[in-house]
Amino acid sequence: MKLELNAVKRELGKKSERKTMRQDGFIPAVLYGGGSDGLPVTINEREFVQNYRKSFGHVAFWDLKIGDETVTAVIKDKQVHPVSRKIVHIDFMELHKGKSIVLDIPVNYNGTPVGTKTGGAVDYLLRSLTVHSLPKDVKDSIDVDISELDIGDTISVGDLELGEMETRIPLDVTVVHVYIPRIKAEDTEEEAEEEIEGEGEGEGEGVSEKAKDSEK
Amino acid sequence: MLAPKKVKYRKKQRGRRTGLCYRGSNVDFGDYGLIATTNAWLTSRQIEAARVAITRTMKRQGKVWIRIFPDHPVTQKPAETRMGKGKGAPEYWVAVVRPGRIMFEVDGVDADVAKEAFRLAGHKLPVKTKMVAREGVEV
Repeated sequence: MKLELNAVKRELGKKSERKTMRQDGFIPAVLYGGGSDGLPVTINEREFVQNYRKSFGHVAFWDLKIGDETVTAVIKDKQVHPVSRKIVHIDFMELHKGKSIVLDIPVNYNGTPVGTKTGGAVDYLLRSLTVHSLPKDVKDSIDVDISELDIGDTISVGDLELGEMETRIPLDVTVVHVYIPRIKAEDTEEEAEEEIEGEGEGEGEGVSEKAKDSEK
Repeated sequence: MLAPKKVKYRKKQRGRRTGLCYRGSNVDFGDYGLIATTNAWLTSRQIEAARVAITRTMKRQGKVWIRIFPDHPVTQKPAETRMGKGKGAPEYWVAVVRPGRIMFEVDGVDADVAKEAFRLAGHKLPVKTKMVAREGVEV
């Protein structure tokens, strides 16, 4: 997915200046890659967030317009404020033709497994996969069809269609599996207690037959 | 209730709870998470109460992750004891929670169910809380 974004060069400056910048609706960012020094830039928060939302579930290649230049980059890192959840800083990595990159490709799961209808639950163990690839070979996303998974079935990294991309994650690592949920004994006891309480309230002071049975 | 199986030292100093939580502040396992927006010590009883509130609301559907562990011992001196004569005996365990910490995560339920579960769980905890979602998931 290709996205466009305007960026303006900035001075490194003080921490207080960056704070003011964020208050004014801008995000400090840095562009690096290809052996050159990092280039500090500023981007508009609103413009970035609007575009960034479109890229959820896909790999985004950003065309950064810095003055007259246009640079293609990917987001390598992103700092988020832990409480406000606002983006505080972004690392863009410039792409170069013929140079391999390491990227996290989102894994999208399609369909509802058959096993869930018979009491199973799905465990998504991998939401993104780290791959080594040339920029031209990078897939937009990795789609996995899980509709035919029954209880006990798993899909591992080796089963994914990666095309030209390579991964260094062992191929036997599980990506998704359908399992029978284990219910804690405590939970069932609590629920039983709850039922007893509920019945007790309804019937006044008498203890119901069901509660007596469960006590036995 | 959660408690360490084995510890190297039985008693610990209180420590500080200043600053924000940068580690453990991302929704990594489920779709929705409950974050603390203030700091506090969460006892193992409070964590358990919140977990029970979540699982009951979810009615055995989905999955719950507890992202905090009470590994900090709290000591207390017996009542009507004069000061001195050493530190009190360990009484209970707490998890040190700073703003931004993801305390619980859930998956496999709708946003409305998760919201209600987290609302009830929040009432069991001595921190102000907020629900957050994984990137790409609507709250």
